[in-house]
Amino acid sequence: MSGSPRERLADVAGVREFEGVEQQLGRLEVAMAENRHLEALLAEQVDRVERAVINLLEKQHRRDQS
Amino acid sequence: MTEVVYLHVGGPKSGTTFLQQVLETNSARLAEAGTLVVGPRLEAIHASMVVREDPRLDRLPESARGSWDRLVAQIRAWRGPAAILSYELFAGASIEQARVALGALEGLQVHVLVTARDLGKSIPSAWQEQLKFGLIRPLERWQPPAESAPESEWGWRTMQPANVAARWGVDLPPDQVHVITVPSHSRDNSELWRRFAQACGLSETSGLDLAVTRVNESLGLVEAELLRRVNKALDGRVQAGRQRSLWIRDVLAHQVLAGIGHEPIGLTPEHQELAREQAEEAITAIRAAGYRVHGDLEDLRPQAPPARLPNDVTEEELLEAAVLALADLLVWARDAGSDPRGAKEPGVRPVARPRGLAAARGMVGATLRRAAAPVRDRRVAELEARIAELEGQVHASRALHLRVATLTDLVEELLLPADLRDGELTMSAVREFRQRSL
Repeated sequence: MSGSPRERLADVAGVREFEGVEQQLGRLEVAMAENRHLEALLAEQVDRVERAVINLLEKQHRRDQS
Repeated sequence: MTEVVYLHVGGPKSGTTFLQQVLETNSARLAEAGTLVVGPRLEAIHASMVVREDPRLDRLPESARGSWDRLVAQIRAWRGPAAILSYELFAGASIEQARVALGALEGLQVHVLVTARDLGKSIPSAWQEQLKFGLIRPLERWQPPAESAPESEWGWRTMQPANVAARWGVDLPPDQVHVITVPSHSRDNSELWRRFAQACGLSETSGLDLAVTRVNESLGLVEAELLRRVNKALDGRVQAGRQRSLWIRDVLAHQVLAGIGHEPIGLTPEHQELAREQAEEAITAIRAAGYRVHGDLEDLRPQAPPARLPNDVTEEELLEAAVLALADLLVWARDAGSDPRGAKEPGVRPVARPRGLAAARGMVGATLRRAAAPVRDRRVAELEARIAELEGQVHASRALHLRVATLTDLVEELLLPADLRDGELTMSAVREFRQRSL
């Protein structure tokens, strides 16, 4: 059997050739999702350190003024 | 929660395309009525390969190996009482393979459905399906592979319903094994659906659309013989299974040759005898097993009227079909965008198409191609959107890394003892930090 019209359409359209690309893209999306999770934690830490540095710089600035 | 699974395992060329089209077209209505149409179809094709341990799986994406498990998960996750899975090449599974597959459905009530038709018609059908994959043996010297040929998709192993039912139904009570016959004297598919629906418990489900588009993929006598000779002339130049299915089957056989002529293909006296024997064996075995029969087992006996054999085709007939095929193929190649010089010539007008069946078939082909373009475009657009999303994420990730780098530079400077600090560097780091973070 040759498959349903939908499948034959997929063959005519040549979209089955995309399957490999979609697989790779899917793996990349999963890796990026894991990355995003880790980066969200990193971004929170960066926020905290940045706020601490800003406080420090402000204190230094006030000390230098006085 | 799913309680009953109807597993339609085949066989091929027994109205399966029509039944699957009805199921797919009406999947929303059937879901409302509590029955899941398990799919999509490509997943079912891959799942049948997993079940049959088909070595061609090695050439498919890794995800294909999980297709049977995913279909089982889909069945178990369904909130309605019933699910139907239909694909004709499950029919080729061995007893052990069927046991493993059914083991995954443990706890559910499984009904195995086998559709079958006039076994005399099955022989030329199976021969021409093999032609679509490069066969060069004439029909007169060809026989369907025997039940014992496990890798043959087009033989008695898949077409003889008692064989299929015995393998898939080995551990099931006989009233959970259904044999559905294709009416031998009716060209109206609604009777086939009525029998199938009865087997699936769908007799009471109303409002289904049975007017699905019939796709005629059968070759006429002359065109089948022409294809056989083309296969010979190809001399192995189109080898891989995927290449054969795309170019010989889909393009040459379905797009071009199927529209040219429809003269039925006859049977040799040996074939007729073989079909009679197989039908007799099937009917006897099905009755003895006590399977549930939907339709009439007499439908399995060869009843086709006498018809010519491929070696009766004249050279003139072949020439005429070859000329039409060549013209259609040329137009198909042009429409498909296969410009051999790599550039489109403006102002090239479409060639006037021949009248009659070939013209009609050509129109169907052109429609299919027109329909295919948006499918491809949509798929490309989906891929582009996913890539754009990833690029956006990479951009955000890069911005975070720059923040970390800037912060690290500044903190390193601030941590140095005051007398070791380079005033210029510290100020530069502070400026950079303020620019990025404040």
